[in-house]
Amino acid sequence: MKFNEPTEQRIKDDKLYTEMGLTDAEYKHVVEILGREPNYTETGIFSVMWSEHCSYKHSKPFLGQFPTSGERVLMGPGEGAGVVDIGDNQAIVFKVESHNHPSAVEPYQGAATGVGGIIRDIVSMGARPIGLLNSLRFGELSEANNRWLLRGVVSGIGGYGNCIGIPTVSGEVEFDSSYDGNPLVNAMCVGVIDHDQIQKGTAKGVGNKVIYVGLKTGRDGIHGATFASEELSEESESKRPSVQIGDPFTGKKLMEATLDAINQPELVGIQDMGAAGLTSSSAEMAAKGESGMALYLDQVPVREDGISPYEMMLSETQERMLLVVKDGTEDKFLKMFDGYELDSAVIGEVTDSDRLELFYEGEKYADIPVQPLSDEAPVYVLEGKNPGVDDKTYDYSKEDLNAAFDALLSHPNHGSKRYIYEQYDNQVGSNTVQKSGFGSGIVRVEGTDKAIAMTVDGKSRYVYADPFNGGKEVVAQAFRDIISTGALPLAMTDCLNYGSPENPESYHQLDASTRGMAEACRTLSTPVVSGNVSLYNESKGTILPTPVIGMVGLIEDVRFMEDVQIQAGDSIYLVGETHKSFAGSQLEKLIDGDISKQERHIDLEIEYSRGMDLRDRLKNGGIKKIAPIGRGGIAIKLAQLAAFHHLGVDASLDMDGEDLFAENASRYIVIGAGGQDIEGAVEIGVLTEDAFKVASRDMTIERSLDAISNTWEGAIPKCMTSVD
Amino acid sequence: MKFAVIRFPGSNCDRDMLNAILKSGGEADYVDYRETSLEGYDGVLIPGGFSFGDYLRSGAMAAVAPVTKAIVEAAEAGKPVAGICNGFQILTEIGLLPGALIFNDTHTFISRDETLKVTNSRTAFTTGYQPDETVTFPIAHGEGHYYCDDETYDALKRNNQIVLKYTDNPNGSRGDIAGIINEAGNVLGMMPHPERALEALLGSDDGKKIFENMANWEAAHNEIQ
Amino acid sequence: MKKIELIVTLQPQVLDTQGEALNRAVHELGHEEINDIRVGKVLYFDIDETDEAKIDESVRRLSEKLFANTVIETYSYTILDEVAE
Repeated sequence: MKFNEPTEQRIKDDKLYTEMGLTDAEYKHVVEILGREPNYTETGIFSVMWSEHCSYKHSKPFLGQFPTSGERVLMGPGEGAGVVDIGDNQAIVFKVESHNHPSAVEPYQGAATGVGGIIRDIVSMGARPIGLLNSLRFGELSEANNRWLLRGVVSGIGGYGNCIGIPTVSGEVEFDSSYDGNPLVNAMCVGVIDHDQIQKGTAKGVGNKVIYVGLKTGRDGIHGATFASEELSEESESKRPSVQIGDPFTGKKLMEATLDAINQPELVGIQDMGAAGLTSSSAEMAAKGESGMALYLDQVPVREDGISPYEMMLSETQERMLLVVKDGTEDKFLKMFDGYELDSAVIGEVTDSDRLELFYEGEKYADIPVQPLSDEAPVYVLEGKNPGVDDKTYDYSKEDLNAAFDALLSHPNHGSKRYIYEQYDNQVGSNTVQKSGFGSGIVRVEGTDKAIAMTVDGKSRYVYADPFNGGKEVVAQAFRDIISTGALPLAMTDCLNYGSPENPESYHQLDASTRGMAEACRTLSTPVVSGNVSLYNESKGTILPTPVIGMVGLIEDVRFMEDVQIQAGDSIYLVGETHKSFAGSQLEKLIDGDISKQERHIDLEIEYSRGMDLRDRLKNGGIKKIAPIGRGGIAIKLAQLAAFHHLGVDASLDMDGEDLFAENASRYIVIGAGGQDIEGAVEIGVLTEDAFKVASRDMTIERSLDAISNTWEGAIPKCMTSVD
Repeated sequence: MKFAVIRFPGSNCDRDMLNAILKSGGEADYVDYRETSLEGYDGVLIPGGFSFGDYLRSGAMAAVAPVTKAIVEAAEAGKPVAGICNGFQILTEIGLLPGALIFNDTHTFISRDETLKVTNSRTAFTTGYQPDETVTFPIAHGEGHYYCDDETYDALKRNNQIVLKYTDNPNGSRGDIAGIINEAGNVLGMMPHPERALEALLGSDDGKKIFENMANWEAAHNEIQ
Repeated sequence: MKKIELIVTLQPQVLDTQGEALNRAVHELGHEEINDIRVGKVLYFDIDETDEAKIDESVRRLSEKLFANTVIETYSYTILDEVAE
């Protein structure tokens, strides 16, 4: 053999497979599948294919609960991304994906490659991306390391997205000490496609050629996929070489070339080389096509000499795609890629062997049956432990709630996110109707009056307080974001960020919250069409359970937004009843410093009917603005509204002062003409030219509009002044 | 008026630029950077983006691309040549416009709506705007700080070559400069994006006149005589 | 065949935002003795030529045309060791 690698015997005797992430039982199963001991390359292939990242071995049972079909769903989970009909032979393709662990180690590249990866997922379906979103979690910005991570992640997201030319139109971020050392970076991409252009990652037709296109393969991120499924430790610092480097310039060329290739009738299938690069793309395409595949790895374009088949199969070099094209047409594709100044090569062919066979200079380096490699990945059902409910009663009536208001408004969680989103090009493409700042992103579909509303949201403190009902609430929150634009919610994607499934409480959180999410998806008619799971998010402690929901909605005719402008004199309505709901609230975080486990409440039927009613009123022009109430409750939402629009507020509410900070579900602030009879609403005041005044039964918040604006604007910048 | 919208690898406002001139009544085609002739075109549009990844320096590699010679010829023939964002950077790298664009003072990318003042409305590009009219165009750049030496700056002022200024300088540009023209008045470079400001629904329609003027170049030219 | 090390830096009067940020960071780390940080680029390349005058001509021409923007940057280069062919 050309490459000096551990023998089958040594892999077995020294249990080298455990270093690659396979357990003893998994190794035994590999031996059964092969009927012999695996060699080094084969062991590596099984270890990445059976990693949590690729196989969802701990989360599969939970994902199975989600409703995945609906009248508009053209393609559910299973391919690179989900596809949903928007009429006129058009559809949208979208998915959210995590890049948490790589971002913790090297924030710029981790975030940049996260964005690049999700874009390729959308592009490989045949869709042109029209919008990017991101959901971020960091520890508090009082820590230098978290500031370093925020700077790096934001410039990485911008560095990739700005260069490739896709607008970043929405996002969300939360700062909480549970994310110290383990930030979350979830990136979402939305694309548009014609129905007849939808591609599948499949390899069919014996003799058809396998083409590699994109960056030359180097030794980047070897074992990155298994790295992503391990808990972070101090040692992770030393794993830096595992992080891949993004090249948005090549990514842009590859995107255009891929969209060109998809127009060619001779294209059989295409898949991006994401996690576990060549391994997962080739194995998955062969499995979906119920075919075999032979790859001649000495044909793979490489950056340096001497890269072994093992390294090649596990390399996570970015900006690469794998295509299967009709036999005899390969030169046409190679020539096309040459025109885009991309490296490409025929590296193999589809066979009828049902096996993935790898050759290098005539020698065989792997011979693995395709179906068991992807289908017989282990599935683990573990035992969760419900920690129960804490014994706690809430009474904030004696607290200085005026001071609490200032503290909350000046916290990065509630202040303006301008520091972040102004680093993202949010208008390239000239179709952005609503960009980051307040509410969902809205992007018009090129050449039509249709627009897509898109949001990403996650409320982890609620999920921690009550995983089941909190799970429902995260879906409902995204639903509220979408209806607030006047869009019809269509479908969603989810990114499940949790701690180690081997931790019984984390496992319980995963179990109960996904049950809650599934129920909400059914009641709110938002099926799950794609998703991603990130477990083992533990560094100094376990992160809050953070399911992040990406949701899209359809606005049939966006021109209704043209003349809508809120102004002084408009009335303010509070829609929905307020309860003393403080478990997981920001007031609880501020005053008590922790979260107690308490039951949270949400009525999904009311959520749905209220949301649809408000949406109709917005579309019909009866109301001008809908703002869902979230972190920090009514007081913070009114302050954000005032600061964002530079308008005063004069409101009076018949409730206790502490209730202004309560965070129960299904509530909105609505702006419109006064005197309207809106179901479940109370008219609480008016917008004014200046001054912010919100009165309750026992306390009043009174500030100048400038004070509100400056506090809100300065929340993040005041933390970022030092040079770390 | 038929325009060539030059496409470099990494250009990403090419479609926006093409749409903008078409909407304004002009004609336009994409032209690959490997072309060496711009025969048949009455003007040149160099779109924004990250040509060649902005590697080495923004605009550096585009400035030595095969199409460059034809762009220079078009400029010398008095045809309208406009470079927006990366296009401006490319025009300074080619030398058709003086000065250079360096990193924003914040050293971060800045994307937001910016209020600008049309400081010279007596150019064929800007005729129709009121003198010192304020307009809103989006900006989206990391290297938009306009730099030039004193001599160049004095010449720009003397010849009325400064056409657009920021009202709240976002990037440190000398003299708040957001856009300039060459001495002959037919080459325009600007960092803000008028092609993203053509519809009130998207935030602003203040950019329309620039494209309408280019699409009706002769009329615009006559207006300022 | 020779290896060339080409250094491109901003001209002294041009604001170097990276250098300024680094300067502040270095001072925050307690190193007040360090000042005037300027950040530049280094390019390494092989040139199939041994005659110094010809090397100088090639390197200068390319530096002025592409490697450096002489409106804002200056450059200098060093001829390093012979490269094995």
